[in-house]
Amino acid sequence: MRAYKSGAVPYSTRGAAVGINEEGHKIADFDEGLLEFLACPLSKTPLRWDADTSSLICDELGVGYPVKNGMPNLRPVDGHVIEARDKESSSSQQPWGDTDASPK
Amino acid sequence: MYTAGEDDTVSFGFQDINANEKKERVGQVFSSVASSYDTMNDLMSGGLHRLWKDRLVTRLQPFAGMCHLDVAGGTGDVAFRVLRAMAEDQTRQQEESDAPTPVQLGQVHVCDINPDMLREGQRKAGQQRLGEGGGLSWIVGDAEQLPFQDNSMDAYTIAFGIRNVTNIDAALDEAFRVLRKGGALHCLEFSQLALPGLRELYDAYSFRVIPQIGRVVANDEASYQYLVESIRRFPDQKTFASLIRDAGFSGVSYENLSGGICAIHSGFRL
Repeated sequence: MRAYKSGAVPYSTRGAAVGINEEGHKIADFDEGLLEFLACPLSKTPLRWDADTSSLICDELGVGYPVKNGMPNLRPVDGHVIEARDKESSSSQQPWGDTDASPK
Repeated sequence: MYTAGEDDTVSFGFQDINANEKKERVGQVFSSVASSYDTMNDLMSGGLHRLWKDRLVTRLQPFAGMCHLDVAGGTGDVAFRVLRAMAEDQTRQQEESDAPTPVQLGQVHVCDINPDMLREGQRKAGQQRLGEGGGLSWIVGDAEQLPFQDNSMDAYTIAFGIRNVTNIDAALDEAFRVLRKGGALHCLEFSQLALPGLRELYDAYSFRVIPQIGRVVANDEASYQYLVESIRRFPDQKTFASLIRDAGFSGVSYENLSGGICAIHSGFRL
């Protein structure tokens, strides 16, 4: 094993996920590995990453939290209620799903 | 009283304000101080804050592979020290071990209620080339309602943050909840000076000099006035230790630094 020079910080094996949204723009990197640790601040249950809206979804409460430039905003005040009828869909516009939905 | 109901007033420095307001006003204080925070810490403490943070991390004893949570440390001072110590341990283990599998570095989560402070921390990390490859994560969250799963953390630190929390016991309860069995809490905070004679000198320095430094360096006397006052209102060493015990921690102890200007309180979830 090669020794690391002092001061150099070895890389962890965790990588960051970078997505491209439908408009072809690079959206904020969010490291999905964090899902192992993160929780909804209100229900304390695990969150689901929704790349389309760049949000972390708490299905337990039907609340979404924004991720801006890779940084999850997980204060209770950051949460917004998701109005979609279908729990699987995180679109907060048309309940039957809308491919033109733009991220909030 | 360390738990505030909706109609209660709480301290904001030496003002009494509605409990609901405190969070927002603390947020405003820290947004305005974010960019000059580190400079102000150096000026106010004569550079001592660096030694205090070194001591905090020494007590913590970071290890490679740990999952660490640093709360209210948005600009990254403690997080960077912890990550460096984890990396040193990783190097040490890799050199000593004959095992073919690599030693994991681990993860430091930095959680702060103020996104401006976190962005400043991200900027500094980038500058120092720390956390490339994912050892650091930056999460906006409330110490009283942490966005982490139960039993997910090996250790929890909070440095100069807990006095800004509206409900200290809620923050301590959350620290307990997210820690694994055997996990450690270490809290570095301003405390009460042990020697009476020094107290007057310290008060004179704090109340006269620090807000003026704030005015000159950061163009913000009021925020630094708040910071100084919040220090005075925080419970003393023994009282804070008993609050930590009330939250369920065992083996609670504290260590005075610089004659009691600040103290490190530690406790364990057993």
